[in-house]
Amino acid sequence: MRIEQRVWQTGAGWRIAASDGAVAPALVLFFAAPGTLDDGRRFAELRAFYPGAAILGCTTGGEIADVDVLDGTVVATAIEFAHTRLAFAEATIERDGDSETAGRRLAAGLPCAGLRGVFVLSDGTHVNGTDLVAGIQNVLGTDITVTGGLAGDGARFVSTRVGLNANPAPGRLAAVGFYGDEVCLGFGSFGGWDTVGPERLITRAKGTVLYELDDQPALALYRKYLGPEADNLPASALLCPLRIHPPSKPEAALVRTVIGVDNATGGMVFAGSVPEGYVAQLMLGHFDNLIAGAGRAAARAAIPDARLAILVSCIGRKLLLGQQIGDEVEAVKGVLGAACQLTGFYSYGEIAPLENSPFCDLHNQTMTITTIAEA
Amino acid sequence: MHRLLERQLNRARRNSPDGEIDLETLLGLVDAAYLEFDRQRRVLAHTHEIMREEFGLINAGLSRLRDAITQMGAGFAIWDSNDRLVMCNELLREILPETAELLRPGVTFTECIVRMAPHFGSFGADGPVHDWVTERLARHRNPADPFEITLAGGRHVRIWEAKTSEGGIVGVYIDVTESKRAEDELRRAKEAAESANRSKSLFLANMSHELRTPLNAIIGFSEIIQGEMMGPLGDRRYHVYAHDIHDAGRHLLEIINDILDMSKIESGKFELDAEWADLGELIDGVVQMVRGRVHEAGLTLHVAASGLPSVCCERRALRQVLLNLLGNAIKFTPSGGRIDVTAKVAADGGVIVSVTDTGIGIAPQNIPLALTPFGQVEVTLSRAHGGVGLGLPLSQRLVDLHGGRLEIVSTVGSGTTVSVTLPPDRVDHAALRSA
Repeated sequence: MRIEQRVWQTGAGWRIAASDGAVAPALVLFFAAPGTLDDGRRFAELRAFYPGAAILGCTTGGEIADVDVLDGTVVATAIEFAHTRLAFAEATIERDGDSETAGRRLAAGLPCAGLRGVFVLSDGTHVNGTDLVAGIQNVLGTDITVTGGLAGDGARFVSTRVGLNANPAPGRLAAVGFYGDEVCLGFGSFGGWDTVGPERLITRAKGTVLYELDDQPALALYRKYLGPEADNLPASALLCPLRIHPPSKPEAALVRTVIGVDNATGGMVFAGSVPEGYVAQLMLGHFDNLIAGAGRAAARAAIPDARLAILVSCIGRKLLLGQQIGDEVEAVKGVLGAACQLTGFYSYGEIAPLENSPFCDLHNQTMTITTIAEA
Repeated sequence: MHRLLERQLNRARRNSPDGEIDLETLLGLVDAAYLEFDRQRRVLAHTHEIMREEFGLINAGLSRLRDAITQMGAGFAIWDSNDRLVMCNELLREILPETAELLRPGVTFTECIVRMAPHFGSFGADGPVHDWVTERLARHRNPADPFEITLAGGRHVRIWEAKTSEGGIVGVYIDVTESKRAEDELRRAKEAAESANRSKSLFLANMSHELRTPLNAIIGFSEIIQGEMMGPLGDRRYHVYAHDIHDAGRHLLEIINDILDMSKIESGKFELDAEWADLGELIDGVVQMVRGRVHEAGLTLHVAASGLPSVCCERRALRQVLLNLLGNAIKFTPSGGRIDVTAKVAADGGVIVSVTDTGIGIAPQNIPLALTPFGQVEVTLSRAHGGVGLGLPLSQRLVDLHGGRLEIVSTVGSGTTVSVTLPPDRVDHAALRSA
């Protein structure tokens, strides 16, 4: 397995940030700041660099090039595998489309024989991540680990793009499947947020839209918690994720994050389902715990001789940690070691298996890591 | 150097075209960091304020719950997942005074039970203290239905326990000594009443036998006298008296037979001897038997009962029921009235036989009384019309024994309809179809 990583920056253009020497990559993963792809030239340049490779990428809320967290850049990582075979699939999702069906269509494009794992990139603003992952697993079964993330749009939540062998566009889903006995995949997902205040019951919600907690408007509660930050909704709602779990099953807890506010109905739009009857508790981030959380995700994802780690971290962590965001990436590097090259992006939702369960789901506010090694 | 400053220097260097540190960029990053820290401080201060508010709400909720637990009319305790007492109310200490001083947070359930065991009776049967402790612990750890324990001094406590979501136990303990005592008294009274009723039935059965033996002699010998089997009687009046003796004897025998049947049914000793019988023939037979009395009473009798199936019944019982109903109709319908007997197959496949008269009727409130043994409405009626009031109740019991039902619809002054319904499983549908 050989890797080359390039970073594009306004004014400076492309530079090689890391290289194992000449590579003949089968896969190029790229993560691009919103706006950098508009003229299509970055994609054309990547195609020219790596004419034989499949090129998969999306827009972000921040790019990760090894230990650097960047803004306004394009980070491309070219990967040459010694033995691993790859297959690719893509699908579109309608604006108000059925995410589960879209997930099925996407998964149907991946042959099952020898499939070891799937990395998915999805549009980040028009998708129910929970349903999307369920659709994929309904086709592939729960034995196949699905990781990945939802594309970002900085902190704007307007338009996100995903592309496979084409300049990324809105409303797209794309996935790469890893095949063969030689490929080893690891994953780890951890948040590190702290729950605060009492548990509340989700008394009114529909799909991904939350209306009431304990019969009180959820938006009012968020405004109370956010205080001076309430003016910056919905972006500032990322500072207060929501931990939800089925009644009396706290071990099945998930973290949900707000991606939009419907002022007309008072509904808060989340990236994944917020089922009525679930128990919900607001969360706040403590810097040290978030950074330690990234380290715990890395410890779970660590596999022997990992050469590449794809980090999908939540935009909410970046908004909160500010310039200290680099600490969480350094914490991951510290665990995975110098030989493991990092790439990744800040997302609107992370996809990974639930803890102690074969089922994958959408996570929010986590550091989610996929590690790749070849035996 | 602080990690953040080191990163800011790297970033400033990277953003500069010549790789030198760009002071303006660096200052911009440092300034942004100060602003971020200010924001974080504001967020923390606000969080502190929110927590204060939320704790206020939680405390108010807790205080309400504590109030409810203190004021509830039952003993209450919560045990944690290690079976240690989390909290209990004062009433629990009153209900279990033997353990009052032990019942403090942190005490284990086992400690309480071991301390209490010598003071307890049992779950119902007396047993060794060790068994009691073992069983009580087992019930506590796997709570199911509520149960009662008996304390020394004859006190009873009803216990309801359930698992909590954290794996502990919540318990409600109610002193039921008083209601238990009342319940015991009621049970004793009921047993006494049942015993008295059984004695009555036994007495009636025995008495009926004792009465029947001499009656048979009276009826038999009056028949012999009436028939002048041993030679002529001489004075005709002897013949009339012998006839009266015979009639009175038959009447008495019928009453005694009714009493005997009733007491058999009430003591659960009456067994149906069911067989297939042609319902139409059965009704015809009974109608023939009463035609004379109908005529004597100045009434008209109309029968609509054709094309009827066979029914599985005890002939004697069903005949007796119909005789009773017709007898009542004759007895309670003034001269010039009309009696209708109708029989048909019901929609559900059962059969309905109805006897309708244009007699004096029964007021709605008296119908239940009319169905109670010896309850014939108004003593004056029974005096005027004869009978001991066993006909209807006995008929109802006999119909019940067939799985059917007897219903009375009546209007005072205009008449009564008594309907007997037999269920579909007593009807021979095959014969009905082939017919």
